[in-house]
Amino acid sequence: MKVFIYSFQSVFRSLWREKWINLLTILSVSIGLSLLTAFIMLTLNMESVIQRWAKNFGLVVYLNENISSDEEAALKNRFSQDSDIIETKYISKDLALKELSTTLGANTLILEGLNENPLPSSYELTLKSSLLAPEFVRKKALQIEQMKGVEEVLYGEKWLSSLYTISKTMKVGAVFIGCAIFIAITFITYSTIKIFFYRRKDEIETLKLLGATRVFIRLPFLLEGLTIGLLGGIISSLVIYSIYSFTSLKVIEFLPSVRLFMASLPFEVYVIVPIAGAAVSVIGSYIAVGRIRY
Amino acid sequence: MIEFSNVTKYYEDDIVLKDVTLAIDKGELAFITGPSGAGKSTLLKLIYCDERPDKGRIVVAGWDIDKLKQSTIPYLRRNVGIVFQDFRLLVNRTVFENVALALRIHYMNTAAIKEDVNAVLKEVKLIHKANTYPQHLSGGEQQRVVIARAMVSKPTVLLADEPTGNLDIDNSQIIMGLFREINARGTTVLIATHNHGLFHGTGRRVFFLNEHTIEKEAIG
Ligand SMILES: Nc1ncnc2c1ncn2[C@@H]1O[C@H](COP(=O)(O)OP(=O)(O)OP(=O)(O)O)[C@@H](O)[C@H]1O
Ligand SMILES: [Mg+2]
Repeated sequence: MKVFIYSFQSVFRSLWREKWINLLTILSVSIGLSLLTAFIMLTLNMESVIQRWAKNFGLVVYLNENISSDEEAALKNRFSQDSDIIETKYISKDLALKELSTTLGANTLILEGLNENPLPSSYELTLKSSLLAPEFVRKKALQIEQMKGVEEVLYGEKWLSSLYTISKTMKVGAVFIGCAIFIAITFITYSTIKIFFYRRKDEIETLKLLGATRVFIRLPFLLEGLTIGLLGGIISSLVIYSIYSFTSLKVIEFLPSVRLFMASLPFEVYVIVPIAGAAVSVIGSYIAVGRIRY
Repeated sequence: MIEFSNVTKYYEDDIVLKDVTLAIDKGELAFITGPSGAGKSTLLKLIYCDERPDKGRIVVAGWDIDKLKQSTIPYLRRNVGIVFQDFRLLVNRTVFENVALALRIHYMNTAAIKEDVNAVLKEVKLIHKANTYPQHLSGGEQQRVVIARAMVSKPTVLLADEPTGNLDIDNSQIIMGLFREINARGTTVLIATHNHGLFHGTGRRVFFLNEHTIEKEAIG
């Protein structure tokens, strides 16, 4: 305990003595963390938008003109037993025609000339949204097409694969940028602590000769890194909070569609960001201090 | 208290100490002398592990230096007060803080540090300079700050490297008086000096270092 009290006293002295470098470092760390959080938020939101779209995604299974009701029932049964399909909706010939005429509205006249309903009956299948991979959907469609009584299976193939690519790219990008920012923050604290360490090299040498332990020498630097990271994280949390409240209050008022892109930001983020900042800064400081040899 | 058996030390390829054997008893006050470059400082550095021997065995206050791990070196050093030849005072700390450092590394509490440091500063007659920075002190005063720092933690062994380096006779006598007092309290004292006047007529043991080895041992 005394160890920590003593080290913290030394940290505060150093923070004050080198207030400009420290302030700069804290600000850099907080900018880095804010960018990171903003990027994570963006990725999460994009992901949730994609997931929402994917929820509406489905296969349309057109049935043979002369399908028997037994065959229809058999198909329905197979669909409902398939765990990848979460919803099965039957659209009869008549319903299809009705929907078409609703869509056409005033142009219903086109249909008047028909004496027979040309539309096939169909099943609309909704897939689990987690099964978004285009490869999987294609296989599923082919498989269903082989079934008895099925004429054709249609789905938005291009649409699906581009959505899938976007989501994949965003995830990979998030990991890369996240790592880059983490490394940058580590490096920022590393260089600041390294400067302090070199400035106090003589003092450290003397302390070692007087019998100071490694912990005694190292702890103040680690705690200084921790303080820098923590303060940087707190500032970043405040910034994110302000931006977030500002957008939710003002922007939505004018641009309601923005709401679509704003996933709620969990409260934990405001705690995790400072902790992450502190952790990364401690790592940076640890590397900066390096091995202490006697 | 301090034991060297056949200690050899090289710097790169240059031999500094060769087959040095000596023993200093508990509670003794002894001297090492010899010309400049003879290896006096090196011998002291071996005692507080600033240098490691290439051959031979060194035992200090019961610690076998050979078997000492890096992480236990600080604990050995806490038993050894050192008066460095080059002082090693921190210029950005006051006299008080410089002396207090030797106690802070033990995480001693502030009140106790204050008491002990003030007591030792009184002893070296520097209490009135407690808040001065070392660079504003005379050589003799700086020397006394270094001694105060070495004795404040009440070490079992005190090593002094050229403690009267460029001081006049009066100042040298003051400093020798301090060492006698520290010694009288039970601390083993070893002083390295090229100043023969310092040990002349003291009746203490003197080790003469020359040509890399202990040439002779005599009574001062
Ligand atoms: N770190 C070092 N690296 C290489 N050589 C060194 C080192 N320290 C000392 N020496 C050499 O070892 C020899 C002994 O040095 P040392 O400092 O022990 O002498 P000394 O007896 O204390 O001399 P003085 O009376 O001038 O203080 C000298 O020749 C010196 O140049
Ligand atoms: Mg010397």
